[in-house]
Amino acid sequence: VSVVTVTTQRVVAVDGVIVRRLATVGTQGPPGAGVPSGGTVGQPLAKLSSGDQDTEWANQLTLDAMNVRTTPNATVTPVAGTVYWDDLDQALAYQVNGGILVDIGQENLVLVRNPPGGSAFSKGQAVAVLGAAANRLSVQLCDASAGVGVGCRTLGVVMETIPSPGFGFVSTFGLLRGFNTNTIIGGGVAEGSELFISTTPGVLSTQPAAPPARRLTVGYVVTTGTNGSIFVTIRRGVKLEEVDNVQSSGWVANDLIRYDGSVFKPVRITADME
Amino acid sequence: MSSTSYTFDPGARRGDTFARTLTYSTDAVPPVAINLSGASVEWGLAPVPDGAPKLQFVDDSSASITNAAAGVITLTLSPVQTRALKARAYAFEVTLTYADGTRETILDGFLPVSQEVVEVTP
Repeated sequence: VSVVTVTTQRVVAVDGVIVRRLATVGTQGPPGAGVPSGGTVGQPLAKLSSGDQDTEWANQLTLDAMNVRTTPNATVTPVAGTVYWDDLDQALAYQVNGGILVDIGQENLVLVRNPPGGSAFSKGQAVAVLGAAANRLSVQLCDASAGVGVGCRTLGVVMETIPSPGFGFVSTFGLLRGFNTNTIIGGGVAEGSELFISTTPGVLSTQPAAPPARRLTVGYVVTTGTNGSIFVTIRRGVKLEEVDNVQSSGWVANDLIRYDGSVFKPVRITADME
Repeated sequence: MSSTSYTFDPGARRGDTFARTLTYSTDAVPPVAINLSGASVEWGLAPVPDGAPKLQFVDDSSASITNAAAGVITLTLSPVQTRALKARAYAFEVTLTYADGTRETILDGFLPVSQEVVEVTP
């Protein structure tokens, strides 16, 4: 970049009347500050200070605000790390590894671990927390009949194939796209169908598991088909002995409930009472 | 560096002679003529800007440097030439080619051509 000094202005007259002024390029001035050398593809220019020409090729920007085009100039082909406007769902979105789209504010997901020694998890399977390892929650397939331990720990629905051992994302809330609703059991799958965890590990059903199995709501069918979608919102039924002010153990068949002023406890029916 | 386009006012009239004198100088007071010695002048007219020229003159009776030292250029269209034009505006430009090969368009714009009422010879 150089500074150009205009030294002369020329004019054109038509029949004595000036109708055009032309600037003539003069001598080239000394080099200006211009932009810094170096930089890499895609880096923006950023100010280092309030001083003139004090700039650098930046890796981070500090702005008061940023507007993302809701109608992009060109088709956005997102890759992991891309932030853009998801016009379909009207949300600022980003993409994570595996091509998973995340609409900010409209869905939640968690990166989990499938522990070694098991089978891979498939997209659409329900999982529950097993424990933690390798700085992540480890999960297992969720089963409504699996008792308090697993059912209480229902986490969400697998968003991608997760090998064993391996890591992957689980949806805990929001839209799960690309879901094959033909894998849902229980019959009557339709848009708006409520979904439950079945007594088959990981498999979703349109029918809640019958007591004493747990009633675990997973969400709702949004779009049916092999490329359908469901809305995940986990809600589980609560067994009586899981309620805070109910004695959690010691119950046997035919017990009655007695309130002692602070806790509900079992009362054994004796022969005399019968 | 040129400014907005210029429109000849009045323009040409079909069947009439069109003649204009251009003077190229500095903007000083008094102005200093640009010496056009060794330069040639080219005048082109086209139906639309950037279009194929309808008429094009290079150092001839229609476009000539008539006083190089004084920076004077004369543009002329004969009655036959103006009659060859249609009653419409033509885009034009006047370009100088200096002795060192440098080219400079000093004027461009539009030349309105009006219809004549009665067509007589020539």
